[in-house]
Amino acid sequence: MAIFGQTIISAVAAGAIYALIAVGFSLIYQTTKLVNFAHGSIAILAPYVSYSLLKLGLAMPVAVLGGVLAAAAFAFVMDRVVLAPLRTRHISVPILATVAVAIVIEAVTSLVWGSQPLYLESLASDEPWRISGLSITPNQVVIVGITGAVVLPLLWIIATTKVGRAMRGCAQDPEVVTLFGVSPARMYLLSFVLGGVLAGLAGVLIAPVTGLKPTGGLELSTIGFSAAVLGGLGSLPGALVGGFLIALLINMTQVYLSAGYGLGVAYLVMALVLLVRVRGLFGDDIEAVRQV
Amino acid sequence: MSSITRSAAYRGWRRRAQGLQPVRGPLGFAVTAAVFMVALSGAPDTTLMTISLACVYAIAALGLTVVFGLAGMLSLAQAAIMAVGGYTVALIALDTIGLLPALLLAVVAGAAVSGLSGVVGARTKSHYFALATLALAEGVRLVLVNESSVTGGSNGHPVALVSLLGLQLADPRYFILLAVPLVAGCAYLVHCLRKSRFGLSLKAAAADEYMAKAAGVAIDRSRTLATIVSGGLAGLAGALLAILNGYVGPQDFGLGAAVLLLLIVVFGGASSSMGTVVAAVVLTYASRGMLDLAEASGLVYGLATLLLLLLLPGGVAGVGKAVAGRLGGRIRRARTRQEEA
Repeated sequence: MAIFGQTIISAVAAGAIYALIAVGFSLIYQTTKLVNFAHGSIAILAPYVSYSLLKLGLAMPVAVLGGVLAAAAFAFVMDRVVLAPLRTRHISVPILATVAVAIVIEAVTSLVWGSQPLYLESLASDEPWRISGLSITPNQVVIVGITGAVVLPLLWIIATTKVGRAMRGCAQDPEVVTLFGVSPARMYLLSFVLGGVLAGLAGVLIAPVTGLKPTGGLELSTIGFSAAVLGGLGSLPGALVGGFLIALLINMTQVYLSAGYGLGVAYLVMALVLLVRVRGLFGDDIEAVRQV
Repeated sequence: MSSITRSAAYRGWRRRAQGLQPVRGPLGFAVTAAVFMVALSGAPDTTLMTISLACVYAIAALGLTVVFGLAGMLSLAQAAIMAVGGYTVALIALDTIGLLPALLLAVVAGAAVSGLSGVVGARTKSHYFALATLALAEGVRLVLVNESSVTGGSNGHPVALVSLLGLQLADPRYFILLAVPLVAGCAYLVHCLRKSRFGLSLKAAAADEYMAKAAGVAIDRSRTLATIVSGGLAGLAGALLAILNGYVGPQDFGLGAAVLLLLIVVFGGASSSMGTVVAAVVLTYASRGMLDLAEASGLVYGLATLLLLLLLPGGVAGVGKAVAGRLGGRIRRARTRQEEA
């Protein structure tokens, strides 16, 4: 029972991070209809930058902020330089471009910071509190707290304000949205920058737990995709819930079934959702995915 | 001479030329192959190895043209399907079963696993298919790494030496003798598929799903079939790679290889098998050349992909077609002027 409780606790902390990734990914998707394969790679860019800023002698909060801003800046440049010129082409071309960006990020990180794993300090202490046989670290509380403080207001803003409506409209019909005085290009840019901020936060939070590897980006991407697909691609609350569910599944599998196949469950869930119920848990019917 | 009889004669000539189409394709490849053979008889081993690898990637990329080029479905699993073919050859007793049945088995295994992605691909839009193929690719890699008692884990698995008519296939010199005709055969197969009703239905579905459905095109079946054909070719390519290297390991079939294959298709253009083969040779040369750059190769590679996508919309074949189209236009204009005169 203690093991079970402990698994749940670490799943909640991991789930918060996966949810950050999945919400950012889904946000970009719901505005641009683009599957961003570089999302996880942008996420690991942030802790690498933080690591260097710490080395320069900056304080922890400043370094973390710098890392997140760097991820957002990268997302900005990626949208302007790479994706904006490809917008008129067949949808698979910009998607392939995001894969290429992921490869570039992996190469750059391993050139600049080396391919050996690095370790970043946690935001809060890893000294556990013991509560009735279970141990919770302050860092886990901070992870969940930051996720809640960032994601919940964001979901509220996107669900209720004009900007949020404009973003969702862009995905449905860019031309009609233009008639209402909204610039789709700006909305795309906004969604990429917001996605970059969320990804950067997730990267900074997960790096102290898993260590920093240049190849970690793709892994993070696939987990985020699975969570977003499970919740319904394009649905932000769905991505939030999906993140926690996927973390629970992965951790349960690792503890009770097989350590090696934890991620396999994430892939399996994604495949099953795509086969049986493409709109996931909370995806809407209009987006009902299968056009014909 | 009146222009009417002349144009009739011209039409007749066109008809006969089109009748020759099935012969011209393989003939062209056979001639190219013969030129290759002569040119290579005295080539150094590294060149032979590069050509051998180019043949392997050309076959896998020809498969990918069907799914990605014609149907517009972005597949990231092609390298993983190659792994399925390669491990099939590695794990069966090659020396007892013989080369041909082993290659056939690899084709079937590749087609079957790729067909799994097709079941998802038939039901969903293109970007969901990309996600599903990524899941499939990572799933295959996970199995290969985790089931180390069977597959050898990340250390890989050795492949028995095979010979054909007494020629050792692990030697690139003799491997090419098998691979070049296979490339020609696959290129011809894909060429025929492209011209067939099946190819047309894939193109129609890629251009406008609603319209294609309204015109009675069986989109689901075509798409599933496309992934099966493409998987068969990838399985063959993987088996050949395993035989050439005498070894299979998960690192040969990662995302990098998948992107190389996609790049070959983009670079070669979807509309011509010859373009795909040329792109495979050029890009294999380029990526082999980058082996010296070690970690920087990823950077060069990714940036090259981006530049290619941004600057060359139709790929190399697109450029060729544009030039040919302009030339053709000039010839046609000249002819009309002549006829008017």
